[in-house]
Amino acid sequence: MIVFLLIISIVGGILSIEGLVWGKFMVSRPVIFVPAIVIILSAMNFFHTESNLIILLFFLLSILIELRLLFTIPVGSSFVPDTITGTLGIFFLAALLPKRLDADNFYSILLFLYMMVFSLSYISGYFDVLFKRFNTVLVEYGKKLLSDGEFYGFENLSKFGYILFFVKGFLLTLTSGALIYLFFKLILPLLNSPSINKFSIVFLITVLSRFAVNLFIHWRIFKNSLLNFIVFIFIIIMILQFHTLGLLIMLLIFCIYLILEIKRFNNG
Amino acid sequence: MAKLELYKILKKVIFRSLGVQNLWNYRYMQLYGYIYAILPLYRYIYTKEEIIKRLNIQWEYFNTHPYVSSYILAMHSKMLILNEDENEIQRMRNNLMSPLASIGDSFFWGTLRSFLISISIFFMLIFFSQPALLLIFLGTGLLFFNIIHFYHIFKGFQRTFRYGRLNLKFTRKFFFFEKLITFASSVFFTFSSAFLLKIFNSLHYMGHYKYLLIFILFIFINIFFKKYIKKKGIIILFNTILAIIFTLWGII
Repeated sequence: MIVFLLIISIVGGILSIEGLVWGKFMVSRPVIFVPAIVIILSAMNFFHTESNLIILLFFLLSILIELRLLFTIPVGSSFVPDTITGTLGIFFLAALLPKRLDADNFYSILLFLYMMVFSLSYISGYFDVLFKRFNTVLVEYGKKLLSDGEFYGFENLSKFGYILFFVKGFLLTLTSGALIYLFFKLILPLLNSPSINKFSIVFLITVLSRFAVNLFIHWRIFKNSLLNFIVFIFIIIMILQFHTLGLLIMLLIFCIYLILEIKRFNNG
Repeated sequence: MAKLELYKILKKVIFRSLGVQNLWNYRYMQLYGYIYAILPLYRYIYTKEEIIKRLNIQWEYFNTHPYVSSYILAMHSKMLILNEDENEIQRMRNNLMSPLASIGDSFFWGTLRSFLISISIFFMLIFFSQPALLLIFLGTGLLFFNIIHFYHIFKGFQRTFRYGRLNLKFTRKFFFFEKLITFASSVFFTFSSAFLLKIFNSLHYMGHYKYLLIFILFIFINIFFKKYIKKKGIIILFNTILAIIFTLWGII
């Protein structure tokens, strides 16, 4: 088990480098790495639950975290929560408590983990700020090396950047995993209560609705285009389960939109 | 022979541009990553004393979108090879970084990333019981994103270096795609929200109409709060209180 926890922490370190320092290939987004890890673990028969609920739990959690932080864009010196380490921490729970999940405590556990990951992302983001402040010292030192003509030393400093962020990712994944496990153990009797489960459903719907409002504002739905309004009507058609009709309407709208856009584009 | 060596060094510059965020700090921002990427070319062209003198002029803060930094590096490389004045190069760098950053932020972070996330969520909800298919679709989405990402890094560098100017035609194409991708994202998000509510329904007590009503009610409440109150804490508190009332009331 310790080997598994170490592997998850190493993955945390590598993803921290990928997401914050080198490449940014989007592998470090929760909606990408969580399903990948879950699928690998389930292929190895790691989860001992009878149903697919634990897989669904991880999927929904990564979706909620991603939706919540979708519009926090890393522009300049803005504060961006670091979702990598907190989200990886939930796998500690999968390793240690595989059998304690059933349909009656599903939503309360989902809400608890969402809260935990969300707050740990902010804490991890704060550590990010501390590391970025420390980087100033390293870069000042790099300037000194450069003015002394020690280019080799200047280039070697880049390795420090990678090592720093790897260690940060590794340690924070380990810590957040341990914290999630401890809090989970403490709060489990409460999470099994049916009324808390019911409350969690309504609360999760409020979270989804807040996200929907952000989406409307971001894409100026109801302001500029009639087409976006039709999309909203489509949501209701889909929710009311007229799937085939909804799909046909959507395809029709998409074709009309495409033709209009191509015409507008050709007219300059 | 010299051309081959220059080609190798330019390849090194492109590869190093992937790590432009390295040692990011609040004072100089991406400056270290930028200098680290361009340094091999300086070492190829100039002597030690000249490099120290020239890089001293470059030592000012630098920040742009990481995916489009290769355009600035390409211009920088071209100007270095043409042996232009270092102050001129620095002026070019400062003039280009902000407009390119705004294009990169709106296209890559605002649009393309939202699209990747929306299709990933959609695939996760559709294929959650078929892991092989899910992995294939997620991988395809990631590949689609990274093809555009690498196209900008490699092709952008190559074209800018070859012609010695920014090819601004690409921005026009961007804005056409931006609209389409935004629209496609909203389609995928609508599908996803429908599937989310379907999953909620299949697991628990309520009928669809109750979920729908609560969902729509909270949307209107949040629009009202966003418009008139604007304080996140109060919105979350109000939502929590309403959720408690609904639970105690026994609606669910």
